[in-house]
Amino acid sequence: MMRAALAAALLALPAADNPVDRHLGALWREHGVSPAPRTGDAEFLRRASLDLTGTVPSEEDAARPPADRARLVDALLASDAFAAHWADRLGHSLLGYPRDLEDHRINRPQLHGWLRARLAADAGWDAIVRGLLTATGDFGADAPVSFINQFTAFIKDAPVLRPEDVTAKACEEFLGIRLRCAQCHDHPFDRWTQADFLAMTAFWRRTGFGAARTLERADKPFAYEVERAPLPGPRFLDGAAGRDDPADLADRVVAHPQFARVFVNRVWACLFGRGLVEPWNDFSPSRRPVAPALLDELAAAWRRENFRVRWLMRTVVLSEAYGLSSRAADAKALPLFAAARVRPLAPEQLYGAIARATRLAGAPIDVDRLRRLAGAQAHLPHDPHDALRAWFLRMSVQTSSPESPHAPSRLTANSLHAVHMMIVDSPLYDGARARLKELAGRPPAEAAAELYLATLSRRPTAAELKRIAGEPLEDVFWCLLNCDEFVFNH
Amino acid sequence: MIAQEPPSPAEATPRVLAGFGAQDAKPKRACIVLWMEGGPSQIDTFDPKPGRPTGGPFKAIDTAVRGARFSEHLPLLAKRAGRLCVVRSVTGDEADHHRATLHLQTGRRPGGLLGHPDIGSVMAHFNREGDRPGYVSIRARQSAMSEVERGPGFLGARAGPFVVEDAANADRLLRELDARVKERGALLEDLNAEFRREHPNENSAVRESLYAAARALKGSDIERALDLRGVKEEVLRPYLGPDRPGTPMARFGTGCLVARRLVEAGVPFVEVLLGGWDTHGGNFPAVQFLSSRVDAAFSALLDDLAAGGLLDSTLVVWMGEFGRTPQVNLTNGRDHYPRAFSAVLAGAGAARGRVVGETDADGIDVLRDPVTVPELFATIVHLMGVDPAGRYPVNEIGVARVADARPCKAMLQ
Repeated sequence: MMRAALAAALLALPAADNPVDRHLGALWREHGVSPAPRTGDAEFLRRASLDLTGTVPSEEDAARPPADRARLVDALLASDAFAAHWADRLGHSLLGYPRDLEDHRINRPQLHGWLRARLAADAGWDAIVRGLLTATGDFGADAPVSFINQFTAFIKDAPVLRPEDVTAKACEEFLGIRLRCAQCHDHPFDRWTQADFLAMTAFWRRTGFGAARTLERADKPFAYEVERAPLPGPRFLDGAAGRDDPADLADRVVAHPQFARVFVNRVWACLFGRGLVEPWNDFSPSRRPVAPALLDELAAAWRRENFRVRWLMRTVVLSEAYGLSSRAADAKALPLFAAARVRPLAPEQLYGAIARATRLAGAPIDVDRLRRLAGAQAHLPHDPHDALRAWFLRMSVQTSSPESPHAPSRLTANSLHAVHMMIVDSPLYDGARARLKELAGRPPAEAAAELYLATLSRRPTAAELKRIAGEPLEDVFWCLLNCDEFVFNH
Repeated sequence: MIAQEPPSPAEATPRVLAGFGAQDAKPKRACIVLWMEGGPSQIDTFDPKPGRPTGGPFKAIDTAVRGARFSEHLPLLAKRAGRLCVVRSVTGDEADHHRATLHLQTGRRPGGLLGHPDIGSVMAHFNREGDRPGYVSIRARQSAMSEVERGPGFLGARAGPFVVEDAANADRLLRELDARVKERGALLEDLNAEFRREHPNENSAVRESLYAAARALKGSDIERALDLRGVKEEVLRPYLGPDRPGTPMARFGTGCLVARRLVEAGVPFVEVLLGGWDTHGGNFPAVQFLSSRVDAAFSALLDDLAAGGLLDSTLVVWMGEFGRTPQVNLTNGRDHYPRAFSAVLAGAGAARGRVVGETDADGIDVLRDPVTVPELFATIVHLMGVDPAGRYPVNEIGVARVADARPCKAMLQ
């Protein structure tokens, strides 16, 4: 009783305006859990910078963290870095991370640019999804065909679209429905049947690769579709009959109640380290959201805001819940989002943080060394900085959680990742080497303070200065880039 | 009821270690899993149906086991069938790559609260020494298929794999580590201490064990086992079949040689991955290609282990997450088929020269002696020298068994 009253007292704040806080507050009262205190301004600055722009704050900002969080968040959301970072995260979710065997049917930079332009223009997620599903043509037409093109098989060197794969991916990505199991037999515990699956693939009957080997919409179904046993006409998941045109599919996808819920959940998972439903894109009946009313209200409000991505990010990031501390988090608090998690960074964020902290942009990259580390068979972009980034992303994904683009709360890396990070003359640290040269000759305590601000966005404590006194600065810099405080979001 | 937070592996590990000392008394075993990622076609390999509508174009050849025939593209294994236990009646019901892989690898359907450990992690957990990894995964990748997330689950990162990307240069990365790795590691631990005190969390424990494992590898006999620079060509040759050393296609064969060397160095579990089996289109050329690599590498591995006196204590398992449809589809491929598929075991206490179970004339259903996926898992665990009925205490949530089914007696000697 006492604890519930205490929790209620802590939560009698104007933050009840934010649906996140209103619903979570009720949840915490119901479970008798009191939320963690608010996190400090320096920590909030670092957290929001990483989550919204994929990198750590500049040393100047870190030295003077702002108290006005709303203003800070608006500035981050308006920046180019926001659009670039989220074009990355979403692009990796749509296409997967780059692999060694690169597919020439997809053009990652082009899709990235297309997404980035839309995010910068504050477009709605519905417009983005429509664009992805209805794209045709080649890359020159600024159409995001890569998303559909990734599902190509080659029969005697001719490209053939695989509508089953497009369907499975679209349902998972945009509706949080794992239809794939229904491809071979009726789903083990969800209600989808094989017939449902086939009926969904029929929306793609007239979409395929023409003589020009680019994606097109034909007047008649493609030949391999006709050869199958008579296909049921396109039928959406709700049973309604549709037209064999992805534009019709897109309309139905956007109108489906899951459309808003799954994107809200995706954003939630990225910002909190764990979705309201886990995994973020698997809303099977056997899983129940932590706070169903919260998910529904946020989804409805976001739909009314025309699915604008920035509005959603802003609403969540400016909630009190997002700004809680992660120190000494009570194990009971974490599943209820009553404390922030210590969570791994997404590979894009970790690279962005290292790049900024070591001023990688201006440093020369040792490309020969990079090729040696990446292995002879690796296909790397031509530009050295792009190559380093591509290699790092591929390595991170191969040594940790491979297909999740959204940095789950739990680190699943293996020791190969640690080996890579421990190679001190890796090109990953080329920026650090250049920076250390600049710092040579500076008083050690001053040099250390700069490195701490650059990496951990704070100054070193007296105890830390004492411990690092006498250690080679190169080792200190390496430790700062490999310590938990740097590689985690907290 | 809110979803329970899964138990922290950092908390799980010390409690799980306590109380399992009794396992030490058993003789030292090792296990090599040849993981055929994508789902290998059983009809076109170990369970041929020549002349049937579902049989495909391959012929069937006799093997050293009377009455048992393999695909014509596995002649070396056919000669060695006397060493093999071919299970033709594996049966499951997961047709999704991710779910099926977890089903085979953990012995349970995925879902539920606990992240169960995969086979390698189980073995590493009970047989690992100090900080050395007890589980090495050689990802001799040839396909672009996504890797499924699996690993030590609630056993924690200490039981997880050390991953080798390219078997021909497996120690390449370790060679890049400089001599001051250990001193730098000590400074890193000191600088981490305060943060970890103020932010106790499971992820810090994971990182600590990863870095410790990486440091333990440097200069170890595992590193020496990974170093192939001194290995004579005639030792490697039999593993490679038609491929030349150092070429991308030679990765699987080279990985099998590395696996043998790692077992000699005392690593309890090695997995060698071969991808490319997800043949929804163009099944037959692909399976022929992959079969010739499997034929060479698996045969050479058996020969080497036997010659080194290690076959009696080393279990070798060949399997994928499911088989492929008896019906051939419109793009000349076969699709996912968990209903009746094959797995092959050799070494340790596995039956020799035996075929377990039988599928019908067209390979549609299991006719006799089905082996469910959990039973297959339990059998592998048992043959590795781990008690499948043993339990892990997993925090307050309860006790988890190593395996949920019993080993299949027909697969044992």
